[in-house]
Amino acid sequence: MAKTAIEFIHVHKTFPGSGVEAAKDVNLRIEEGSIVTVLGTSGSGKTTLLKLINRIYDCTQGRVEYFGKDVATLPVVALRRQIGYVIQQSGLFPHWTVERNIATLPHILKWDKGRIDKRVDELMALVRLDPECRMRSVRKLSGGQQQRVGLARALAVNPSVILMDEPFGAIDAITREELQDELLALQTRLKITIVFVTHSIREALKLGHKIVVMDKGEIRQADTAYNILLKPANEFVRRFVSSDDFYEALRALRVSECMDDLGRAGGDPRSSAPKIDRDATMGDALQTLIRSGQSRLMVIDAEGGPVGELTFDSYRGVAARSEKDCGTA
Amino acid sequence: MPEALAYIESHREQYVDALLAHLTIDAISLLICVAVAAPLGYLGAKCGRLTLPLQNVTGMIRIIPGIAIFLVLIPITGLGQTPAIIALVIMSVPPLLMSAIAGLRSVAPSVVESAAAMGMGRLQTLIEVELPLALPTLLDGLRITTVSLIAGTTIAAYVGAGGLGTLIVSGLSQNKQGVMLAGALTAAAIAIAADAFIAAMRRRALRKISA
Repeated sequence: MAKTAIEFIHVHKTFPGSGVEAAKDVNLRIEEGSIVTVLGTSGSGKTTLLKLINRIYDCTQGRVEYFGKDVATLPVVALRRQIGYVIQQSGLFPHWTVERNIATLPHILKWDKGRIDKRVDELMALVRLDPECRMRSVRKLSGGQQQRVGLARALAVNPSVILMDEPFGAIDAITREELQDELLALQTRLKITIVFVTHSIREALKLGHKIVVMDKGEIRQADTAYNILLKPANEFVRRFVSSDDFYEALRALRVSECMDDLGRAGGDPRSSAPKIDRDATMGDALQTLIRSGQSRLMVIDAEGGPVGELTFDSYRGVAARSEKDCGTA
Repeated sequence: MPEALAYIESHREQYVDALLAHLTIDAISLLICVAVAAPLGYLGAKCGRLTLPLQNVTGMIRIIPGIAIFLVLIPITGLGQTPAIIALVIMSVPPLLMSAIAGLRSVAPSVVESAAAMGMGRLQTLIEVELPLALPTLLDGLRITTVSLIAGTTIAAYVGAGGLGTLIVSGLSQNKQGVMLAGALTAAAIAIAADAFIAAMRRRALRKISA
């Protein structure tokens, strides 16, 4: 089992004067190297959860642990410098250039100029920012580019954890998809732990290894996309994620979660069936299946070895399952 | 005008003394204004509970005519530079304080929050992030305060503080237009120059933070 990066232990948070509990007995384990998306409507407490990690807020009761240590006992500035933070509208410093924004933390840590320059180069390449815009003011960038700068800034000193609060909320749909894909690729490469707050079901299902559904300060379910969609823990989750669009659900499900495992007979590696990656979405797989004109796909792992197969029956199974399981709350 | 120049020509020493006294009073008062407005403005912007009371008090002070403040102070502090400076600070600090509160509050909370979340301290956030972003608004206040000080100092002559106001007062009482104009026009020129200078600084600050 992977190491625990962050753990909420019986966390309560009440804001002075409001009386409303923004976090109510929250228990949550976030594995190192995973993406956890926190999904909920505004006022559900999802942002509060995020800010309890880097101590913008402090718990009223309970504790949050960062790699096994209670964050309340860690020096707050040092803690925050280890945790990247990206928010909507990016929170960039509008009076600074792209370069200066990205180098915020290296500057604070007094790196020498050569090291900063080199790091900014690396980071701009990593988040695919045009080197041309390095000396430009961040105000002159598009929303998508600003978020890339925000991400580069958060990554500057190799944080072990990045917190993201609706970072793509104000960005057009096409750019958002692009940024999501790049974030996934980046995360796979760097193996950073990401806690990602969003109100978009689709975004939460697409990005999260684990999805946390929040409502009125409580976690209603914390599970994989497959289980959230097909085995909702309660009526709230069922209604929240229920989609009339079957295809929408397929976009969130991974092939590996829905395929038929290879029986004892094993797969025939020489089979002429079209291949699909186990990490592809069921949506992509369906397209491949239809285009191929065949009745089955061979599911392969990263090394290309067959691990399962996918047929139209697998899809029928998903549809039946979502109807049956969701009916009983 | 010619009479004014003639007076300056013939009483150069007196004129320069008045001018220097005027500028000294302005400079001291301005420093005190900044020293008062900076901490109060920061508190007013950061503690939500203090914002409104501070704004109300400063608003009330602004209503009191400058001359009244001078006259009320005479029995307490006597005549001279000190009461003049106290009165000038009271009448000129409100715009600076209000702009300090408004300026700091105008900085987007998301920007301040990300500064904190990145591990910047309060002072660092103030100096590197909040002040540059609030600067145009701060300079707006500084501009009004400075002009108000330069003009107000002419009244300070009534409480025996010296300055260009002395020329205006004696010119009026002796019915010497040249003397009066020499004082009035010089004060006006300094005010206009200061105003233009700060306005230019403000434009520069604004260009830095907006597209």
